Amino acid sequence: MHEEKQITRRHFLAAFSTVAAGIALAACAQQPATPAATQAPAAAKPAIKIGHLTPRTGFLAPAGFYSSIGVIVGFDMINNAGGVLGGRKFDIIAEDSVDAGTAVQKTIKLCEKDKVDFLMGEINSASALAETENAAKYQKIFINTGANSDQLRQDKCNHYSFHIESSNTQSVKACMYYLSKNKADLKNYYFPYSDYAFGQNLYQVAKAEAAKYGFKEIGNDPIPTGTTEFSSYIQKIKSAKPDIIFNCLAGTDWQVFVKQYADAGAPFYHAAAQFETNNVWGVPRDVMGAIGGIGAAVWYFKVDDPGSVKFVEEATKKLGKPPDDQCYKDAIGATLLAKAVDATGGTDTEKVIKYFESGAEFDLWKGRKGKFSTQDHQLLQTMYTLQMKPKDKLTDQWDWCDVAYVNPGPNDPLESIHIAKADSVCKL
Amino acid sequence: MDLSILGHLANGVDLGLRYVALALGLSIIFGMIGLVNFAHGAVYAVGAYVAMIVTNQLGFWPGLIISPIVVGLLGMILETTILRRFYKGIPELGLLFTFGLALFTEQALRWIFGSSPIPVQAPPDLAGPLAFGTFIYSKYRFFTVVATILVIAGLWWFLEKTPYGRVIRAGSRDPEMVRMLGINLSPVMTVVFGLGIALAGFAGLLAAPLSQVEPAMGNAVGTAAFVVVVIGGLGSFWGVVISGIIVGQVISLTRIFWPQMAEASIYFLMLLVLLMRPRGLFGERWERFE
Repeated sequence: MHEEKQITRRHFLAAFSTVAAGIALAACAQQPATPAATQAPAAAKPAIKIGHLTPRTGFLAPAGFYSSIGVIVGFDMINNAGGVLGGRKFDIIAEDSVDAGTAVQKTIKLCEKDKVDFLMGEINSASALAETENAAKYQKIFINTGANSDQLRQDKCNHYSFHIESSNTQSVKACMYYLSKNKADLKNYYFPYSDYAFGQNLYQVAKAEAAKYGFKEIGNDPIPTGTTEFSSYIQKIKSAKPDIIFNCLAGTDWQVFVKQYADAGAPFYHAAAQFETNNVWGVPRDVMGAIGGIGAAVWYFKVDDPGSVKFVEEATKKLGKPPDDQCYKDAIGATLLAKAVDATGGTDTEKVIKYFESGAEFDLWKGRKGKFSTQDHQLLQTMYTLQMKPKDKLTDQWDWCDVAYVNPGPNDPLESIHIAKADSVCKL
Repeated sequence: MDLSILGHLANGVDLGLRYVALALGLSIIFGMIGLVNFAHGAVYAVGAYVAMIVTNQLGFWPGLIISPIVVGLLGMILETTILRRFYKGIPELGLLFTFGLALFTEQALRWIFGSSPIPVQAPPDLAGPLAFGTFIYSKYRFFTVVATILVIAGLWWFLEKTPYGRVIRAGSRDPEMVRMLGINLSPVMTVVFGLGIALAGFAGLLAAPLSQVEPAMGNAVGTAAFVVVVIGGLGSFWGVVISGIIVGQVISLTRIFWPQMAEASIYFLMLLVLLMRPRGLFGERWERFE
């Protein structure tokens, strides 16, 4: 009879600790499959290298997925139309920036080893803060397509970073304006927020903006990212009895919170500064329909503009479903960069910066043109306040929202929904 | 009693019982086979994906029965074809294998289903709130509590009251003696592994409509299940049940007073318990594990 070797209790505890540490290290060092990047065909003219960073894993993976497709679609559209500078094509080197630490490593790798001409992407504000510092160190332009924190436009702004993604201020102003006009009787606000750079900043911005309209904060909860159980927070909110839940969560946290909130009966009006369709689609349609509410987005796939229609067509071929606004932001970022390269005759960093700072206006595929702010390099653009369709009109597989308002109004300057000049501490 | 506190306590019970379903599987596998299954969290995710597929095809109620069975059968195939090769080797090999299996499973799920979370909805019969007088609670959460209690009771009855359960318990304590009585433990180990895996699949199934189905969904929960087993005491059935409920309450109540520490609170609890009772709250001295 053989003698089986047994694991002891001490083995178990030691192994548990070792493997837990191993998991943590593996999580830090993991290098998931790089998404298929568009490849410039071998040609006489050298390709322009784009280093694209976005979280493909973790709680921001849903937005990261759309981001990685958006940049491919955007540059494919440019490459297929003949490229820039009389035939130069764009080549994307894509990396997963799952967290701030990984983002730093990948940015250094893209700059030192791959020698990219430009950096693009990101969703996570904490990662973007790290990337923007490295962009400055390597003197590369960083086109931020998905990180919202105002910090990137305030004390952490820099000469090399440009922001396609809306600032938290833009999103919040778009929401609060609508709420002040249409839900002014709902005065008591509760703010659950993601406990990292993005959420902390969003909460501060939303709280301040709400106060301007005479709305009152009656509670807030900083919630760790990656939380899967919100019942206690929801119970706390129910006890506080607010009029509005102003959702300042991100990624899958946003989705799971909304699901569990619906499960708890969704007793209060729901508003979200970030109403990205990848988040909305991550919740069953009936559940979103039951909750209703409003939120802000940079773009919506039903925007009636020839550029948008063309982009939706191209992206749908790649995705098998319509693109969300994160997909749009990466694609429009690609077109803006291509336009700058064409206009400046090359990839010279300072020339491109000067061009972006010149007040040049861009077709953003949503009617009104946009431009970069010289104050902090934020793209000044219209924002959409989206409203969930009534439950009985939620019949389409993807079209769940109505555009309730376009902010700012046609007669207001684009600057009116951005950080006011007097409040800006950015020194470029 | 303040109804909001009652709500928090109910949430703690609900969360704790879902940990229990996962941790009991871990515990019985360890008790019988002596294997630390680090792939248990990944199996939880597999359970959710299988549930999603079966539910989409056949509806929630058939999925509730079929999904754990499918996951359990997959576990039995794994045990028969690969895992039993490690029983005769040094214990760390099996442990490393399950660790690798966890990473492999997560990436495989990502490759097959993509990294985006997939929304799963509770069946219409279980959607929305349920009123107990003035106390309002989620119908689906109430269902998960009842379903998990039934599964725990069924498992207890199986282990305590059936001849097969007696063989499992005896085999856990003294496999040599059981073998000497002429009982072949190999098929028992296969059944136990399948049962433990099915429990993880069941926990994943219950979680799917509450969260999102995504490849890494088992990581945090899997770790919490280990904590539950360690606090309860390795191999102790009721220790795991009580520990699970305590862990659920600790997380739930910490979220009220100190949300940032909610996830970390259970590790402090584990540390505290291990300092006072190194075998866990209800851990007994098992000769083969000393």
